[in-house]
Amino acid sequence: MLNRQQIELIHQEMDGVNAPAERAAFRSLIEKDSEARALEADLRNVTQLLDRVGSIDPPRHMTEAILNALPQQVRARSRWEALGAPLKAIVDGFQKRPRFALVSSLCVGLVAGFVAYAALAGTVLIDHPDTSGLRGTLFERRAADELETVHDVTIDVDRVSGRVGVQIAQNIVFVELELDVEHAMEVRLTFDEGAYGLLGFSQLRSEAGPYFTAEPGLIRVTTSGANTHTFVLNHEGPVSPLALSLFENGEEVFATTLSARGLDQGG
Amino acid sequence: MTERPAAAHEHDRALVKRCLEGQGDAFGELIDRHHKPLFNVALRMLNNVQDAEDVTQTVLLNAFVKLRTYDPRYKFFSWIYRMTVNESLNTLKRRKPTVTLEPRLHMRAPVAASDSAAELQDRVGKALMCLKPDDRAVVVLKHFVSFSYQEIADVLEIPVRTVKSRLFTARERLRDALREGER
Repeated sequence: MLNRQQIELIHQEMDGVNAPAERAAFRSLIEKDSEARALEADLRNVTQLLDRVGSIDPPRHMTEAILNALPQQVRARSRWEALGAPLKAIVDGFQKRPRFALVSSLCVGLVAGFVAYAALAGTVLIDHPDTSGLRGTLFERRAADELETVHDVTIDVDRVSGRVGVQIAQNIVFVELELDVEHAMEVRLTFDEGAYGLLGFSQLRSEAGPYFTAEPGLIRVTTSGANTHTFVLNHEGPVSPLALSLFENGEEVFATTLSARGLDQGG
Repeated sequence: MTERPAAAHEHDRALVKRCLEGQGDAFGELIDRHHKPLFNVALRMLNNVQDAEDVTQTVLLNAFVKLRTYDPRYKFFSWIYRMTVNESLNTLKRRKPTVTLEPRLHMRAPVAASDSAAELQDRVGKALMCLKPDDRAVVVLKHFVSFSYQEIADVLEIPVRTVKSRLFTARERLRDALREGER
């Protein structure tokens, strides 16, 4: 029959806490006593079984429920957790190596900037809600007092009212078209492709004229309701007249030639 | 027996300090660090996933509310595991006797597990429930959270010799219960 001290020795051996002297006593006991060997084997089976069970992952909704019950400031952590282990590992790495994090951030920023530039460099459709005091587009504009008005025509025909103005500053030409049309119409601006290039286009209400095409010597824009369209052209050397026309269902309803002083000199 | 790394205690203390200074996200990190072992302690104490979830949620919410009462001279995990064991014991006391129609449902792991793994969970879960709750707490902290005798004594606020006595008795009962389960 094992005494209390011997039983403790066997249990402590299972837990790996026996001191060297106790371990020697344990070995001696196991060698001599079959009951001790049987208990040791039983306990080893029990501990191995418990170790095999392992831990269970709690349901995901449990932590969400806890975090939802806590103030907002604490809940921010749940989004962090949702990012997953890989991203957390990266960020932990950054926190441990701030210099590496700084260099990496700069690189990512540069790449993101390049991508954004590549994606947006060709964009010319720009909304500018307030055009007072400025003419042109976000990319190409001048203060009103820098511009010389060379053409200003009022449009007042059936189902169309408005005005078309042309202003120039050095080699930049701004064509501003204010329209109020009853039905959707197509605006065509025709020009000598050898003399002009299109720098930009903008309109006050983007939803009113979503269709825009530009090809050598011709720009087409659809317009409806009240809207203001601005075309910005540049010219090299001698200039030539521009032609503006409005079409409704393929039928021309208005046309004018923008050939005032400054545009047709030497043209 | 390997003690829990001192760095982990210091990390816990630092997180509690940050939380008390108003950085609420620090408590979120404490939840990340402890929710899984706390859930597993409750699960082994109660042998029921839903009850274990409830206990874990209650403990973590209470810990947040009572964080100012935590004494940083002691280990944070001792404080929070004590709350978990006590809440589990309270749940057991409140539990009404029920007839279990399909006991395996209680211990089915929420994540996919093989049949043999589920059977093992079931078998061990049932055997643990044969122990007295106080003895079961010692076995759970020893074998499912790998605490030392001293750490268990700190959590349960009992002497180390009592920890040993309960653990040794519980293991032998567990052996007998597992044998019974095999029949």
